[in-house]
Amino acid sequence: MKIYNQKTHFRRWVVEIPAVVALLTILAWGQELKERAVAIRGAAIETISGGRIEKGNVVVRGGKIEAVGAEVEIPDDARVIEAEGMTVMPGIIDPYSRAGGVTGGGEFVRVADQFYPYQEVFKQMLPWGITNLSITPSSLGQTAVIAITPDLPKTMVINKDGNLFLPVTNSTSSLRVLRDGLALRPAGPQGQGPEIPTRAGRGRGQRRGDQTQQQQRQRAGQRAGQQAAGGPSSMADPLWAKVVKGEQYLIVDVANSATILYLGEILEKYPEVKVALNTNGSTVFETLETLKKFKPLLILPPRIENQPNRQYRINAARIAHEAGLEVAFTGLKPEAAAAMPGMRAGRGQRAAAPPTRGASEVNRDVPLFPVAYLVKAGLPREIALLALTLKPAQVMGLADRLGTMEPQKDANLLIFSGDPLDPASRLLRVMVEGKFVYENKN
Amino acid sequence: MKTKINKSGLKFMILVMLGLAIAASTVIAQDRPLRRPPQPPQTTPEETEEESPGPIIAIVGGKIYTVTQEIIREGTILVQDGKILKAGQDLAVPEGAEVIDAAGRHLVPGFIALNASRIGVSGTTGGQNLVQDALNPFDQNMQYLLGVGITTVCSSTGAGGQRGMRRTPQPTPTAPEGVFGSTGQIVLKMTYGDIEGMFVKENPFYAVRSASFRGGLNCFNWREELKRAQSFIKAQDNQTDEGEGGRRGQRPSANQDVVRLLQGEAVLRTDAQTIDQIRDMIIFSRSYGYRIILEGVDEGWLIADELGPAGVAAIITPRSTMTPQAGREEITGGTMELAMHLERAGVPFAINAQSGSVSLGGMAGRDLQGLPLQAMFAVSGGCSEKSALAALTIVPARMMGLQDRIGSIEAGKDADILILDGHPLDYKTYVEKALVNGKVYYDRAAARILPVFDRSFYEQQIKIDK
Repeated sequence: MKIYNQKTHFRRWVVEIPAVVALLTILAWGQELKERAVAIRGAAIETISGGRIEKGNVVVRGGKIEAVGAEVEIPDDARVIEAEGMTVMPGIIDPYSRAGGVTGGGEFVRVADQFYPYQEVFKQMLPWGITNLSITPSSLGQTAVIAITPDLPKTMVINKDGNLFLPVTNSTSSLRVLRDGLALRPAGPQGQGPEIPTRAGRGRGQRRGDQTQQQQRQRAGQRAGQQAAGGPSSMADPLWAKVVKGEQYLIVDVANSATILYLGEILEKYPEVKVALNTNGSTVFETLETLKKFKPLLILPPRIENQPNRQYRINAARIAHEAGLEVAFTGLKPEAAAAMPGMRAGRGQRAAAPPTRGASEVNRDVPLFPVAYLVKAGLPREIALLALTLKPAQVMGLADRLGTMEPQKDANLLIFSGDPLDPASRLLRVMVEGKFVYENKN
Repeated sequence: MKTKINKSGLKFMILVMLGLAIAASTVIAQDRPLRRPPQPPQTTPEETEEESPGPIIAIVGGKIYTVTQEIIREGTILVQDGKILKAGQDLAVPEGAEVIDAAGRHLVPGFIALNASRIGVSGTTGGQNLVQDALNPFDQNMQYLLGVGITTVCSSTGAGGQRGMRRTPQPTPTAPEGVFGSTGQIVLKMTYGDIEGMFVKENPFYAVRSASFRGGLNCFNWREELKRAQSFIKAQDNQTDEGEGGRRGQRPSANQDVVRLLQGEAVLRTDAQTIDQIRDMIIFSRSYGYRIILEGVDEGWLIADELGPAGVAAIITPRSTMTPQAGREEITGGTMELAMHLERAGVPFAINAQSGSVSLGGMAGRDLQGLPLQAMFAVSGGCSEKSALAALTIVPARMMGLQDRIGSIEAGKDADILILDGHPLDYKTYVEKALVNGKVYYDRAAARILPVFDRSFYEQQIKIDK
């Protein structure tokens, strides 16, 4: 019996399995060979990484970009799309999205575990030119990156292990998460208590009172430690380690301008840490001096805003760029979409109502209108395009895969009838991972 | 291997070294500050880093109301590193100093508001949330306060209805928990847009609502509270006498705030309006030996002579009035002359606005923006201008134990200085610039929160027309 068994094992391991593997490999190889290329001929190309090509070809095969350039030859088997006079640019990437309604709750939310792809909202995004989203939880957690392919719901998530996300407000309990996390202080049952800033008093005045307060704080810290003990926090720990080493962006949502000052004070000690800050224009305007010190990448809505407490208009993206800060745009949607109930980026997002007909319908295929407005108001064109594509990809840590028109990158691209930032041009086609997911039939 | 240096080379090197030494010495000499205040010994590693003194700001040519000393005409104030370096006449302006021309201007220390409601605080406080982490220097109310000259506020941190960041001592068996708990306060500077230097002090007073002392039961409870604190202190003293071997377990429990009060480390701040309420508070404070600050004191003018010897300090609102009590034979009620009576009786008093908020609608002069106006009312009630100004500056500073930092223009104090275009107690006066910690945080022309126009321009126009 024993001998017989050994023989079977031998046969299985040495003969059968390699045979199957070889067969599968050949099949897969054949599949790839069989897959036809798609070529876009004669279009202007916004490569992002290598400037604008006035007239060139793009060849896409197997979900990847195969070649881009003025002199690129079109393979014989390719399905050719004549794009004379049109413009091709990489798909728009949103680095901070709550689409799909991932709920918070719990101490650590991993979006990939909660993601539900069968939602109408993703289909509605196709005409906006958005090809990738980083979906952010509403409380401490880990983001997930998706490609907008509603027809292939099972493979929508392209990166399950996204960035660490943290909402911060100006309160001790909220700031402690950041202080402890960056200090890589384990939130174990001993709970060493938070590091309390000693800005207070500096030994002036209170003596006895200070002691009792310190004791109180220690107790509070212990309580917090006990709460955080065990499971969820251990999921955050390896992410904090990456953040501290500067291997990954920490995505922070700030409640108000004051929080940015606290953030600046804390991050001063960690020059390695890369932060992407989700905020808005008036906050940037108020805290520019502090932002210049710790240089976060700003995730901003592409719109003209008001100065805080004033009626003066500001172009925050331009102000940030001129101060030497990097910018990525979020929440880009045509005016029509913004007006749709339930489509605001924010908490408690529900499935969107069907778009209404009328003027809004017209705006739908000019998704870059708000960005064009900022460019008209002085934001350099190339910075605006970067903020839509490569910068968000950098935040997600996927700059080698998304964000530019370069060979071997994901074939996520948009075809406009003219200059993408010209309100007269229309978005005609959207390609995600080599397949056209949207065609403008109007 | 040895390097050989010939004679001429050696001479050359010596010359070079000598030159370097001279150059270095001159550089060091230039860097030396003009006058550096003695630095306290620094302990923490963070602070041991040698900080070179910053640039000097010179405010030149103004009339300086020092508050604690004489008025200096056409004086100069030198400011460095957030502190007043020197104030006086004929001061030489050091080279490279930033000069603010204040010719014809009036310079006063920044005003202090003793009641403000959550100004500069936006985050959650209470529980494990510290007020230091809840500051919001972008609160626009701070600019409005700077616009009327308020540079420091004592802000209550509790939101409406809450007890805020009450300090929780041990609850006592008889008194319901929290009756004598302090309502949280925080002393903040109006450093609009900066967190650095904003926080000054937490809980400067042991502030208790007057309702806690009203009625027989509450008075009984308060007395019990005081007795417990007394026996606590006694037990503590015995323990220290006996040293390590003291009986630890038998220490009686007491409200630690009350203990601090009896030990003279804290001051009780509460409100009392009528003669009876004021007298109640005085009796308590005298029989148990603690200091009190009474707020309101509308009828205090009738018993001003009793307040002085009892060591009462008052926080008054000169515009506040009070109807006489019906059915009382003696004179009762409030008067605008309250401040004058307190001044004559030698009772230190600070001036409060009617409300601790900033209101932009309705009638002006009742909210915090009306604080200087309140002082003007005290003057129209017969109080001297000097005392009225002190009531906005040094007196509240002393009440909070911050007299060595704020409240007057003296060398070594924080440079919280107002540059006014007129007398500080004139209703026509505007704040032109407000410095907090030596930095201009308010410039009327730039902030544009109050209407800006040049009066002299209009006056000239009128002259030309004539």
